[in-house]
Parts: sequence; C-alpha cells; structure tokens
Amino acid sequence: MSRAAGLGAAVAITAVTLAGCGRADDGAGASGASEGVSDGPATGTIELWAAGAEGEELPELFDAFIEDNPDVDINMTPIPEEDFVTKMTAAIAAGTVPDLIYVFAEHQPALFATEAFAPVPDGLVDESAFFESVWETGQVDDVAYGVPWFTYARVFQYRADLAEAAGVDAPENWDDLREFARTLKDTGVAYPLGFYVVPFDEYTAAQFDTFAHQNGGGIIDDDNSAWTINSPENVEALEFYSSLFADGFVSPDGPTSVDSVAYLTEGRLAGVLNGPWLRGWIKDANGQEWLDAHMAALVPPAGPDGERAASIGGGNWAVPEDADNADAAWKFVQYASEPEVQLTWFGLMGNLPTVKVAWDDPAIADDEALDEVRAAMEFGVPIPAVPTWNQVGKILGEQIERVVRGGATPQEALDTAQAEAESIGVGR
Amino acid sequence: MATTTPEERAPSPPSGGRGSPHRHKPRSSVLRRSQTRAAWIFLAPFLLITAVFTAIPVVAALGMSLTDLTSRDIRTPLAVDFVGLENFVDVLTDVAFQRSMLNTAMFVLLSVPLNLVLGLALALLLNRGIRRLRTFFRAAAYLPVITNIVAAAVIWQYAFAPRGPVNAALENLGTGGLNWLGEPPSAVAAIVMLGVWRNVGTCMVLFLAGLQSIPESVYEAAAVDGATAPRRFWSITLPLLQPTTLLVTVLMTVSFLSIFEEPYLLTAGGPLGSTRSIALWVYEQFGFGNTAASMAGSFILIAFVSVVAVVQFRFLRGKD
Repeated sequence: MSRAAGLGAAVAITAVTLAGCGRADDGAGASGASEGVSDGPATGTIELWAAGAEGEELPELFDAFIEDNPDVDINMTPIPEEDFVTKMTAAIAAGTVPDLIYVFAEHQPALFATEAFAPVPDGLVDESAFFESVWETGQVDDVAYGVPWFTYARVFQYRADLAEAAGVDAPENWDDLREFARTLKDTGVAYPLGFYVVPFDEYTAAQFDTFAHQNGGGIIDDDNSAWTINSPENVEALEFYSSLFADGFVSPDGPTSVDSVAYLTEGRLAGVLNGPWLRGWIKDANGQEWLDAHMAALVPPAGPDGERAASIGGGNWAVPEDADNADAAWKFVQYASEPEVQLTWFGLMGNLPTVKVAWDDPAIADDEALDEVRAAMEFGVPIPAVPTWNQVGKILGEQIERVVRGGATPQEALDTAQAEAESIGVGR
Repeated sequence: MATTTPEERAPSPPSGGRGSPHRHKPRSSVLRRSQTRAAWIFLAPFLLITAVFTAIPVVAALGMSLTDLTSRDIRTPLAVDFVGLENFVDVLTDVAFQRSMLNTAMFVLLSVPLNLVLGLALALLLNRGIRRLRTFFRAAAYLPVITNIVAAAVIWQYAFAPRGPVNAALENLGTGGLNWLGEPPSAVAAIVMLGVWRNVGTCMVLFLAGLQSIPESVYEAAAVDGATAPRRFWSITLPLLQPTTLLVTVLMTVSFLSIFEEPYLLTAGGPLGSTRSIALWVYEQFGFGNTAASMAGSFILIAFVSVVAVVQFRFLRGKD
C-alpha cells in the first residue's frame, strides 16, 4: 500500500516536474552585457577556489591586496586538479559558487560550456597589455570570460650533466631524441624519457597532440570543428611515440609528473617534456646550484620534416555569474593583472606572466631556460578549445595506453578514438 | 535501497504485558495510538533525512535521466527537453558502460565471498580461538573500517608501486615482482584487496554479534551427544548464523556494487579501463558535462542494487 503510494508520488512529482520542462527556442546564452566594477577598495569576503599545486602558494599574494583593501577577506579553498570540473559543476548546479576561480586551460572549455560565468567587465584590464594568443584562451564566441593569469609552454628538460658524460648532444629532432634515449639507457639510466602516462588521460592525449603536430598532423582541425584523430600523420606520430615505449626508453607506469623531480635527481630519468614550474620544484628540492649544474632546457625536438610544436597552457581567472561578491573578485583579478604581481607569482611558482611588459624584467629576460620556453610558445599547440575535450582526451589517452601496453596498433587505437570522438562531437 | 518501509520499522503493537496495570480495551487502544505517535516522532528525523538526502534526489535523478540535461543547463534544469528512455538506451549500449558493469560484477563476485569467509574466520577466532589480547585484535581488525580511505589509498598506491614494498617482499620470497597497477588482472586484485581490507572489519563485528547470540547450551548439548567441533560448526553455528550471513551478504553486495573510492583513488579506472566501476563511470560522465547520461547510469546502478538486494533477501531468508 505505502510502497504503491510512494511510487505514485514519485511518478506524480516526476510528471509535474517534466511538464514544466522544455527548452526555450534560443539558447539561454550569456547576456554579453557586462557591468563595470565599482570604484573604491574591495570589501567583503572573496571565496576563491584554486586548483592544483598553485593553491599552496597563492596566499602569498593576498597580503599586498589586503593592505590596499583593508576591508576585504580572502577565503581560499584548494581543490584537487582532477576534481575541479566536477566540484565546480556541482557548485553551479547547487547555486553555491565561489566568487572567483582560477581555472587551468585543460578545464576551461568544459567549465565555460556551463554558461555560468560572467563576462569580463569592460575596462577592468587593458586587453592590449596581454599576449594576444593568450588573451584569446579566455574567450568564447568573442566574449572574454577569463582573464589570463599565467602561461607556459612545455619544453624538453634534461639532465645536461648525464648527457655530457654519455657524450650525446641535446636532441634537436626525433632521431636525436631516440639517440639520446638509447645512449643514456646504455649508461644505465633505467627509463631515459618520462612522458605523461599514468593514468593515461587528457594530459597524455595533449602531449601526443604535440607529437602529431611535429609530424604535420593534429587531433582537431584548425577551427575546432571536427576531430581528425586518425589522420595518417597522427598514426605515424603514434608509431614513433609508442616505439619509445617499446624500446624501453619510456615506462608506461610512471613516474607521474610530480614524481619526476625525485627520478631526475636520482638519475633514473634523464629527460621530460614539462612546464617551467618543474624547474621551480627541482630548485625547491635540491637548490638553485644543483639545478644549474644538472638541468638544461630546450625547445621540444622537431619532427621528421623539421616541424616544431610544444604544448602550451596556463590558467585564467573567472567569476561565476551567481557570485555573491563579484565586485571584489574582479578587483582581485585587476590586481593580479599588474606586472609586478605576475612577477611575484613567477618568483613563487615559475609560471610565466601573461602581460607582455613583465617579460622585460631581468628575472625572466636573463634566464636561459626561459628563453627556450618563450621560443617554444611561438609554435605552441593549445588544448583543443571545445567543451568535450576532457571526455575525448580521456578516450584518446586510454587508446594510447592500449598501444603502449601492447594491445593495439596505432591505427586501430586512433580509429577507435576517432569513432568515439565523432559520436561525442565537439559540443557546439 | 534495501531499507524497510516505515510500517515495517514501526514497533509491534503493545502486548499489554505483565507490567501493564490496566488491561481493559479502551485504555489499550489509547495507549496504542499514543505509542504509534511516539514511534512516528522517533522515526521522524530518520525519515526526514532519508527523504531529503535519498528519496528526493532519487526522484530528481529519475526525472533528469529522462531529459537531455547537460552541464550547460544545470542552472536552469527545467528548461530542457523530455527524451524518454533515450539516455537509458544510450548508456546501456555504451561500450565503456558495459565494461564498467562487467568490472563491477567482477569486484562483487571476488570481494563478497572473500569478505564473508575472512570476516567469519576472524569472528570465530576472536570468539573462541584467541584468549590473550582479544580486544587488541578486535580493534586491529576493525581499524581499517574507520581509517580515512584517501590516506589508505595513498599508502596502498605506494605499496603496489613497481619498486614498492609489496614487490620488495615478493622478491625476497624469490618470486618476481608484479606490475600491480599496470596490468589489468593485478590491478583488479589490488582493488579487491583494498576493498576487503577495508570491509572485513564490518563483517567481523556483525558475525561476532551473531556468534554471541547463539546460546552456549546448544553447543553443550551437541558436545554431550558426541558432535565433533567441525560437526558443531556445520550443524549449529552456520545454520544459526544464517540471518547474520544474509545481512552481511546483502550489505557487502550493495557496498561493492557501488564501489567507487577504491578504483577512483588507486587506479583512476585504469589500466586500460579494467577497474572503472559503474559509480566511477557515472562520476566521470558528470564531470564531462553529460548530466542526464550520468543520471541514467546512476539510476541503472540503483536498479541493480535494489534487484540484487531483493533477490538475496528472497533466496537466503531462512524458512521460518
């Protein structure tokens, strides 16, 4: 009796709820109109969600902001990187959004697809002060939702001392890379190269995409409208990529990006493709002297026809449309866009500024390793800027795992990934 | 979802037992009504919490699973189109979801029997076998239940690393190490081990309570009749433990059907998707923005849990 009644109630509620459903004819997109930010200092509490390791250092920047805005409080919640989209999506659904987030390039398309973020207010920052290509990463359909906060290109970072001892030059192209790995393997380096492996996800896929570009391919077409995962160039690139695993130069079991500091220090790993923060991590672990004596950086090796590519990314500030204290949040963004603040951040995390003038500072201009990063940004390959990237990237990552763990040929794996990616689409 | 309805939980009518001074009917009826009311008042917090945190979300998920809701609609969840059972068809025909069903079935079939056997063995040891330090051993076996799973998973991940302590121990024994989290079979084994390690304490406590409710006199009578220890175990302990066994089986099956933390933390569903459970698939789809699909997936999971629980109650219930 009561079960039947309960079921009846459930059906009734569902029916009533569904009766109110139905899409409006035009997508309820962003209004596009952006209100300005008020004059005067920021007040109230800024709820800030930060992803990844950056969250640990961020509070270092709060003091100066609070000094200028004595009535403001910043309450920061660090969120593990891999949970960021899920937690943020849940918060948007529940209406419990923070005032300000700090979102990685990898997560941005998926988050901006929720259409729950406010456009950047007119006149908040000077658009032309930013690198143009970097400013574009915060845009959706020509409306800016994110203010770029840092940027980077992943470069080849290697144990220069080990390479010298083994008598091998820094790798300029794919053949060199193989030679570099073989020589160092012969001198006893367990796995000379470290790639983005476990857990074979969108990071693996993005790394593979740079190899694809070095071979004249790429996993998505130029205007981000169709997946091109199983092109012949990509298949060839995956053949090269996976052959480095097959020859025992790369392990499919790690180290992970974070572990690579210890592996590089121990000399069980000789070269990785990673961002400039890795140098900061190594410095923290072993000191500046060790870093200078052992590590060097170089733009990623070129493909067979000399084509260059490096994966680029970064992080943008964004303010949810439902934020309680958007005004103060935007003021913090304004503060974070000052060159000096970006330079402080560079000092803390090794993440590069997005405003051009900051790059003239000696701290950046005089650093040889950063010259390579800057050079690599010229041929940077961004994360495919489509809302379905995380899903497709995860699928492609798993297909790459199938190849490197010996289960499938590059052609089979990329065909499978392409078929699944096509059925998912680009989300627009 | 194996909870009983409020009626089943409500106390049985007062028997007007020996201590009751007034036994005539009108008073009894008044008493009964006031006791029913008291029962409802006591039940109210539980019912309210269940309604708010279980019943309403379940109904909402059912509703959402019938629409084309995606992450783009989550602020206006009513402005979506009704698509009927399309999501359910899509989810059930999705290769990754089918794989996650198989993975989940594998976790259940391996973990539940292991938990039952080990939990019962521990309970028997603690009930009779171990005399010294009984409290210590009981606490030690229960400790994983209250240990934070995130911390535990980090330690297990380290333990199963290619150069971790588990492989070091195996190499000391003369066998080669395994690429634990890098090969599907051993990764499944690692998840099962973590799951059993984490749940065996619960099974032990339940079995221990069951064992202690068996009257000593039954064993004494059997001993007088010349029943050997194994005979006493098979003919007395196991049959009298049947209600406990049923309870533990259902609890563990439900718990392993919805297994999430272990694969999420230890392997992220890999290698090669071999440890992606249904719950993990649902979580991922939600993160990808496929809200309606993830609701459909979670509803399918709820349906599995309900069906399995009902079937187990029907088949394992004693003939009383």
